[in-house]
Amino acid sequence: MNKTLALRKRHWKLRPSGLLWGALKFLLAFVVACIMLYPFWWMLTGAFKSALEISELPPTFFPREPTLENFDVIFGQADVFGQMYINSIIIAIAVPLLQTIVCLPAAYAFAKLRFPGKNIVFMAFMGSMMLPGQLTIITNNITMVDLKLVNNLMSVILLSIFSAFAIFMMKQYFMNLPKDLDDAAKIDGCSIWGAFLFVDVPLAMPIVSVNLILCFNSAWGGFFLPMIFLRKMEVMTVPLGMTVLQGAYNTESKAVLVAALMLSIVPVVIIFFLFRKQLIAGIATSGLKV
Amino acid sequence: MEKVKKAPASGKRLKRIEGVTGWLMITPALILFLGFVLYPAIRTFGLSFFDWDLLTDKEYVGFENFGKLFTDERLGTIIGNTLLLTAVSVVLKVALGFLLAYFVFRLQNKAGSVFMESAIFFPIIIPMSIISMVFVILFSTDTGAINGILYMIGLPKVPWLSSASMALWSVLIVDVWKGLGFFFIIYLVAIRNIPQSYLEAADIDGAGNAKKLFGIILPCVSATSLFLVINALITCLQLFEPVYLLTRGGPGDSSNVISYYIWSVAFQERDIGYGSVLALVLFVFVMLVTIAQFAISKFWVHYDE
Repeated sequence: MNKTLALRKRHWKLRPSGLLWGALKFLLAFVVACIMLYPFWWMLTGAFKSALEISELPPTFFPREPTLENFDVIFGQADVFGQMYINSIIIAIAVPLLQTIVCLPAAYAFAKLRFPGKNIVFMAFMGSMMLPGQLTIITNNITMVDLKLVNNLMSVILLSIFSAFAIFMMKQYFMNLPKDLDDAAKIDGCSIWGAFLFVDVPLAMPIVSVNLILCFNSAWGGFFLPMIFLRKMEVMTVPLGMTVLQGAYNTESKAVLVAALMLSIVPVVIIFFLFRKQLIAGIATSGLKV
Repeated sequence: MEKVKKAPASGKRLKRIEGVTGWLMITPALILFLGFVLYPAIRTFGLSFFDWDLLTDKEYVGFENFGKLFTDERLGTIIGNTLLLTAVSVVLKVALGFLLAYFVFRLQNKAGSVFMESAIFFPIIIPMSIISMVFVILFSTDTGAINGILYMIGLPKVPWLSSASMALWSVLIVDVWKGLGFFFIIYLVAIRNIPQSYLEAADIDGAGNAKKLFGIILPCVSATSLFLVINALITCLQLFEPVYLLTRGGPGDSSNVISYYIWSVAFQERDIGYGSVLALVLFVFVMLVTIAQFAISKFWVHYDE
């Protein structure tokens, strides 16, 4: 049966309409790839173009005379951009770590332990995913003013740690782990914390790393919270700072702005190339566990 | 989870330890939830009954802020924009996402499909704010690369961000371009997860590609489709960054949407009361969508097992 199928397939491929279909498929793939990737190519090459060349229409595909002068301008005033970079790194490292410390035990408790009130709390957590950020931000702004955390990175970090989604995702993972291991650990005299830390957490590392990566990504790119709370240049994150710097860079040259924008995505692009598989898996599981 | 050990002697004690440990484990998350999610939600609801600019004293005004909903002349346009943007964006993302996923699924070339997968996925990981700022430059009427390319192939220049008729669609283009990868990748995984035996059985029965697409693949991804539609509705209703960075809601209110309006009322005009009311309106929209999800999934979706 397999043989006939293979034969049928080959036959189909040899027909002229098959060839035409193949060419169309290639063309479609090419067009889609161009649409998705061109803005990045434009950004990457634009960063190395001269002030004159960046404004040429239609845009040149390769920089005619690649230059580093744009980066010289940015690093010439390094104090602002550098400080913003450091702020972003602090947030993008602190949030994933703290989120794991806070949400992982909660996810474990919801998945594996029995305690009174568990379902109510869990439902409340899940229900909170319905709350728009615009609703809570009005009061959180007042809270942060009261706590004197405006213009302090802690405001953004504190508000980003709790994630109902992270708890949900990790809880699902814990629930799918075999229960025998927990039981074995308990029979060996392990406490609940012991079983959690030494049996289940190591087994849950795949989902923990997925969450760390997703969280790093969203913390680096976060815009709304920094925009509300970080109002001084020296505490801004890179994406927020870019909105302030874009005017200054743009008067220098559009190429300087493009170079700065390109620098601002370097960490997430590195993460993408290092962890492409985990990222895709993470985003896919977030969709599949309906 | 159900079978806590029935060690008769210390059963009760174990159970108590488990209860205490459970609460200990959720306490940090619970504190943050209470302080930064539940309390603000309730307090914002309370603030909707006050007139307050954060500087002077609050003044209780009853339902006056809610009354403004019906006299606010801008609100109709803004809600209309939000719903239009959401509807078109959801249809485009779901349709294009599925078609591209099906296309890549059918590619026989392994390297080709990995490349396409990465290309379509790539914009997901780039911050929306940076993408918006890049598109501000690309959309520029006279010096932007997009109009440059249009000009090259003989099309007229489009005033993407500066005309009232195009601004909303420019925001939509950025939103779809950036969000498409999520829909694509989830559809792709869903299609790849369809048991091979289904498709093989169809092959043996001599089913054509069209038959397999409509008879097997589409029904098998219906649960995924529902999830994606709901997810897109909820995120799109709250779209903020591209509006803020590309058009500031303008020209006029032509590209203004509810989440941007909430921010400008509550944080620029410092009208906390009315801003809270608008935020509640957004919440009601999101809640309606979520309730619809539960209702629909009961009778519409085919769940495997």
